[in-house]
Amino acid sequence: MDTVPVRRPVALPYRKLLGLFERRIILPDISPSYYHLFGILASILFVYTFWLWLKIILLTMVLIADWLDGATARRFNKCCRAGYLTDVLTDRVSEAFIFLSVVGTTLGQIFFLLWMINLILAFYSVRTNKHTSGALRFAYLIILIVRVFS
Amino acid sequence: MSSTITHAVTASFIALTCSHVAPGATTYVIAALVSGCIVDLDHLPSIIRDWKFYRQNGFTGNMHRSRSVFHELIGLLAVGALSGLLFLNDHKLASIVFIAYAIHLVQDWLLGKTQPFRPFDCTFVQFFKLTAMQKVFIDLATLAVFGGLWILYLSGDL
Repeated sequence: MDTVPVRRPVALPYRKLLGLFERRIILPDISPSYYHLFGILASILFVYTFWLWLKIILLTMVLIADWLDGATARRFNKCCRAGYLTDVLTDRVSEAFIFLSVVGTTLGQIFFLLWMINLILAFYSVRTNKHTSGALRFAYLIILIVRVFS
Repeated sequence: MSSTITHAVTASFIALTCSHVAPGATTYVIAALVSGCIVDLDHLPSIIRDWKFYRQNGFTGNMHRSRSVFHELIGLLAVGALSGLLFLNDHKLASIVFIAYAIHLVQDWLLGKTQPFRPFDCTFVQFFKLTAMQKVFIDLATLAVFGGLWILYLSGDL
């Protein structure tokens, strides 16, 4: 049962693009859990943040940490089902904190609702062995960046 | 027991400060403390049921066996839905309940073994392999730091 759920075809071009960067960067041989821990702590810090630029920086750091944990696991052959579950768990927890902090706004309420759907999709992913989830944090980051420049 | 106290102190502090609650708002403070530790009540039925096992093997390193599904991601989903309902009535209370509960779960997940996708997948997940001694040290250090922060918060210096 130690299988990692496969990505859906729709995510493959994005994975290929990330793979190009992944091959070129230098990664330390550490446990991916350090990146998970960093992602969760940065998400909790996000709740305390009011400054838009700081929110963008924190969210970018969370997304980079999310990418690096997978990249580290792939580079040093640490891919396993438990690692996949840890990654999904971290992502859902991180999203929970990020979207709860903005739940006072209409946009925040929509994203919180989408987070709940994403959480149900996470159960569906482990059940069907096909990874299905929405890139909510990435979408929210784009909205924040657009807001800065508009 | 010490973990429950540490998690309640940490989770309620983060929930209250995130939601900008004044120390005098007793209802919110109590709600945060209760939400920060109520999930640990689910250990009781299992401990009573498997008392012989815990007497032989001890509680340290085995508490993950006595968790209900509410101590996992399903619990977070349930509390998310509950917070959604509370949100219709009281924004602050909703965010306090959710954050306190979530922080408690996160602490449990980070420091111990967990089965986050139970009952759909019973694979054990462990972020860091910590010894019992290291866990006790982290618990005590966290309690000391957040105990100090609580004193500052209650005295209005934070």
